Amino acid sequence: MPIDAYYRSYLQVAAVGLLGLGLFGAMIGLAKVLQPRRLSDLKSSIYECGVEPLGDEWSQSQVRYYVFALLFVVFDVEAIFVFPWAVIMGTLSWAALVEMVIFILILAVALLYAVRKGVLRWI
Amino acid sequence: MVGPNIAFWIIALVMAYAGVRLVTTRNVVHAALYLMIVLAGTAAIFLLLGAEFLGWTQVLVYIGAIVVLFLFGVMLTRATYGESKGLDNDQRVLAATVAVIVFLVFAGAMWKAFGASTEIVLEKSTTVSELGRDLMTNWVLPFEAVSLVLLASLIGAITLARRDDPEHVRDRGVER
Amino acid sequence: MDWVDYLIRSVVAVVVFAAILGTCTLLVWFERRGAAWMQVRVGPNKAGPFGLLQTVADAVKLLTKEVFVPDSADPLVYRIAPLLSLLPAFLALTIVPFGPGFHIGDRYVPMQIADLNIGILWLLCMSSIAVYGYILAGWSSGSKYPLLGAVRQSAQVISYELVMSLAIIPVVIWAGTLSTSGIVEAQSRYHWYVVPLIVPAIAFFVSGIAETNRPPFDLVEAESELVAGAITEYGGVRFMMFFLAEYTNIITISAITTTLFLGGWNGPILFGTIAGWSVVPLWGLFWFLLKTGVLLFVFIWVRVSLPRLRYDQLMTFGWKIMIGVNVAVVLAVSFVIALMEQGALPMFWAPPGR
Repeated sequence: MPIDAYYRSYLQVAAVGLLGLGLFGAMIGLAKVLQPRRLSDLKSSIYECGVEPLGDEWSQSQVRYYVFALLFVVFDVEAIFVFPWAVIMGTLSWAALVEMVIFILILAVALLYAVRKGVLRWI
Repeated sequence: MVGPNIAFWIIALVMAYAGVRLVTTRNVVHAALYLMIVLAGTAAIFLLLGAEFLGWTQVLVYIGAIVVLFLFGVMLTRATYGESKGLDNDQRVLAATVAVIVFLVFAGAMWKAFGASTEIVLEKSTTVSELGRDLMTNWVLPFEAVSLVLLASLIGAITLARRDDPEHVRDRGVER
Repeated sequence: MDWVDYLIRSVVAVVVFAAILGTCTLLVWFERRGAAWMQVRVGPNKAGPFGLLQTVADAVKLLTKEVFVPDSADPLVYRIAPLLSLLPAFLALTIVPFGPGFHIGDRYVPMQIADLNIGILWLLCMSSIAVYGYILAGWSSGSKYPLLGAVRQSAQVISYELVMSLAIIPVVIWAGTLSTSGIVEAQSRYHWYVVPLIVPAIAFFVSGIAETNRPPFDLVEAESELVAGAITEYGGVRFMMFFLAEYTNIITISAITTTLFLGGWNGPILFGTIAGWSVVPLWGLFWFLLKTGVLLFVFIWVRVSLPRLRYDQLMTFGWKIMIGVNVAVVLAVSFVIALMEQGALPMFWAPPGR
């Protein structure tokens, strides 16, 4: 893509971003104008089904979420490597297909390993 | 081309500010957010240089995955709201020295490559198909190595996070 | 490019923006009225004819609520979180081609805000930024249940984002381009990709439902059981922003499913001119809106019909079934295309020009 058209396409995206920011500002601004102002301690406390909040405001999440995030990083990188190949796949030789099949199969082995080790099992 | 140069300076200043705040803030989640701004700035500079795919890969992998991973880590460990203690240490002099050395190396490399030129001279942006063709012909071996690196990191992650409780044994088909 | 072209593009952007807001309003109305109709209830029927103004009334109500930050919240992040949800939702729609571009005189009017070279990857980038809207909303609220909801929700979204990118890859292989308008062009020359790529099409739409946290995947904000997941502590206008972002995302998923798999704006052109004016581009817009509308209906239909999954079912389904099947489909599709290139298979399903 010529560099001028390239920059222009992002300027158009930026224009939509500005519209979105404008909407955000307008909504907050309008609400600030229209709002009643009656703050109280009870109102600005956090919601716990109507009763007064108990204990700490922190809740520890479990390690399995972290494992899934780690798995996500690995497979996200894989997917991104596949995209440039996918675009030109039809014009490439068999060698390129074999290269990609090896790449994907190695990561399929990784997925299989994760399944066998039971990390994909929730509970 | 004046526009890209102005854009570069704005991005660079935002990145520098966010970088300083990243190491000075006392709140872990805020630090992660400043890191996100720095990474977004890097992506913006890639975009500015016509490396479109690289720029959005930066967003997808670093902002969309790595910083989310950091945040999950923060949620997992006990990071409190507000300021956390113990985020500071006595290594300031050493850190500053390393920072200056890294800066000099990068600056030297850039000076060697571009000299005093401050213009961004680009004819066209790099397309994904060019990148793909290059990856599949010139860089096949590193590309395949990446899959092994990913495999190794995944095995490492699983080994660290795996639980060896009876449920697992059952999952692998062995009776308790 | 002179100022007239910039003006044309700005007008297109503003029209699309207004159309999104209008469609959101209608969609919320249909979600309630249509769901009531399917469940043999009456539904909202007081505000305006058929209760059509109910959404407007709700918006006014939310706008007049007090704007406040809970005591235990992190004030800055709490305020930014809705923006991080809303902005990617709008930006994701910029790549959708709503119709074929046309000429007025010698001016070109594109029916797409930006035809990015990176095309469909843009959708993935935006959804990866949108994760922050939830995770930061939950964290910054300073309350334990939103925090739990945030982690659950973001784990769900990133898992299904992976499914989504794997479901996009076969389309990219088939079309040979990332650009959304290029993918629609490729489908206009031959068949819609839903025919050969039915499995990725279903996977994409299902992961879209999961990405937008819609039933049956809405287990973070299961309305009758949990409160509202990550956004429990949000009220008034800030809640409305999350709401708006959710419905914009529904429109985006429907529009992109149409673009990738249902031929985009392609469809039969029944007649070419009205009173000497060419209406061909309008047919493109019509078919696009019709297909997107059907998918929006499916969103509501699925919501009304299916019971909610459990979290372990959700994750197992996503990681074991969806990802496994889609990796297999990517391999199969690349073999089929390669065989067609070699002439071992007839070029029956590949677009000409390969």
